[in-house]
Amino acid sequence: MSLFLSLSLRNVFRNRVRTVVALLAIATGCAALIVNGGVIYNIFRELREDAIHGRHGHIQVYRRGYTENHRREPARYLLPGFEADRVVALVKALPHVARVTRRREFTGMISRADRYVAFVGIGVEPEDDPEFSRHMTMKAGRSLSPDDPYGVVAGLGLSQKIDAGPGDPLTLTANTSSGALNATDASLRGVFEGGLKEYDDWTLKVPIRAAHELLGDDRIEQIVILLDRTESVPEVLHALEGAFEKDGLDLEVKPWNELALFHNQVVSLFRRELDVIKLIISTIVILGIANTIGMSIVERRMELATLRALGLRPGVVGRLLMTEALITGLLGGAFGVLLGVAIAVTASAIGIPFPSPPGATRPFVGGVDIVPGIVAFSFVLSVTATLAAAAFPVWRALKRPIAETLRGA
Amino acid sequence: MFVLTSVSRVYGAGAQQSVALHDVSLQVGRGEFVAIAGPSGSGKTTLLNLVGGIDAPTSGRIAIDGRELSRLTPSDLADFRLAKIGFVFQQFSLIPVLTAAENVELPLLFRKDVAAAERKRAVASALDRVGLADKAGRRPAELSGGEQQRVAVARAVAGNPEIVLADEPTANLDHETGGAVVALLLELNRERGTTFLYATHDPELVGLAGRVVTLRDGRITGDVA
Repeated sequence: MSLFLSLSLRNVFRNRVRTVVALLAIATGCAALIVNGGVIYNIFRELREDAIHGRHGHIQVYRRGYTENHRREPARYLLPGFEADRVVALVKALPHVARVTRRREFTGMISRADRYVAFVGIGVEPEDDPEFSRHMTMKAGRSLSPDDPYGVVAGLGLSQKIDAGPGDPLTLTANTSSGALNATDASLRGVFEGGLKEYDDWTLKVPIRAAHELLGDDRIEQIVILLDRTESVPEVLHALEGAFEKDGLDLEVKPWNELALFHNQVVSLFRRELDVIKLIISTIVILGIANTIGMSIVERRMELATLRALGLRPGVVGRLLMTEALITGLLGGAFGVLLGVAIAVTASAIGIPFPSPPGATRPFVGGVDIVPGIVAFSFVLSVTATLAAAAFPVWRALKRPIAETLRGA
Repeated sequence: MFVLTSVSRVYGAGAQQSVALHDVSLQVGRGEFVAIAGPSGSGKTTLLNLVGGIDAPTSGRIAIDGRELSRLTPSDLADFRLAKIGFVFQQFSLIPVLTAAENVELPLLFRKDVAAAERKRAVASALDRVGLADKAGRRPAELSGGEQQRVAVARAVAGNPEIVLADEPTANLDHETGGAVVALLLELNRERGTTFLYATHDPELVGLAGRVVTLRDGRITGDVA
């Protein structure tokens, strides 16, 4: 090790109490960033999994133009049953595809006794739905079953609106594709909570065959795909587009993150909050360290003046001091990473009970994710903040005339 | 070697103004061993600081080997000090976290003209010359005041500077140790032909010098060879 580096290292540990205080300040700031970021990313993950396994799947496939126009002309953007079968077969053959299901959304009225309430129906395949609804909680009764073709499940809010519980008979009314009014009897098998209040207030899940009977055709609105892991979405999207083009299918595909608007809003809000926290913690670290480094430099001013008198250039003395700050920042950052990771592991093992996020309905037990990007950022920020904190005291020490310092003025 | 022409140094301004040196002219040749004598506040330290380029005159010119110091940038001035000047301070001013050998080596680290092997040899030779070869690995706190000042002398001379400036080098030492340090400086002056300029107010140490420049209230009142 060079004498220069050795001198920097020895200077760092010259006043051990002060160094420990400085390292603690940096490490605490770094750990706070890691933990805060980890909590927020854990919430993101929870919301993401809610969106994927509760509502949207990883990818949805529609007839081209669906996203832009289906509200104006819903019937025009439906896939005939045979075409949907072809698409499902094609999708199932792709790597990373774990499950594929068909859905048909519609609106109608639900009645029970004297109550008559509008609903948003989703025709789903009962054998697949539990897998696509892993993040839904059955509050009462049971989920859909292929053995119960007219058994439906309602969102908690909707069930309360019609004052219905499991086993209650219901009548569903909707317009067929030709415009006629149609109705079917059903029974409420269960009540679910999907995590979003708006969703739970309006949604009724209906076995797709019952939905087809009610709507008078076998057409499909969405083909929903679950993958073996979320990270495969871009790869599968690419493969789907290639496969559809090759087979001459005029379809559009949407990844979950373009569908999960609530998730995206929350992520955007919390990212901003994370930026503010970063700024606050950086400022605290800079102010805390600036004082410590400033004191250290003031105490050593005679020594620094001596080095300059001996012929060390101002830049060399500055480099020496900044190297000391760099070592302090690196050590503080490293301790901070260890501390942050330890807190994250412990907190995740214990579990942190969270209230439901804004607009959501369920509290959840979360943890602290160890996000490599945030860990790296926190480490780099700790080092940078320490260097920034040192910059002014170092500059001031180098500006001071040598003779004046040696004179003790 | 070096020439001071009508050099004045004034600190502060207005009512706080203090004249440390007033219109001082001095010429010192290569290899001279010069004592700057005078009471406290007479301007001895200011004179050494100006010659060493760690302070700048308010007026007048200082030239060393024909180079005018006021024309050098701070970095050039630092390079100039590194190559040409050795300092010995009253307070020893050693780096407490470095050993005696490392203290001597530190300025040489930044000399581009001194290779690593040569540097090690120069450090060993300088410490040997001041009688501290066996204490090379000790830190300043483990050395006596006299030993620390000898380390400071070794640091000042290890790079073979042309001028060594010593500001009250014996002020913090007992009489006997102080005498030994000045005797050491004198020996180095004779052996190497280095120009020595040291400030003292001790008449006995003044007597060891080949030339005595006396200062009083910032003016040269005597210059006796």
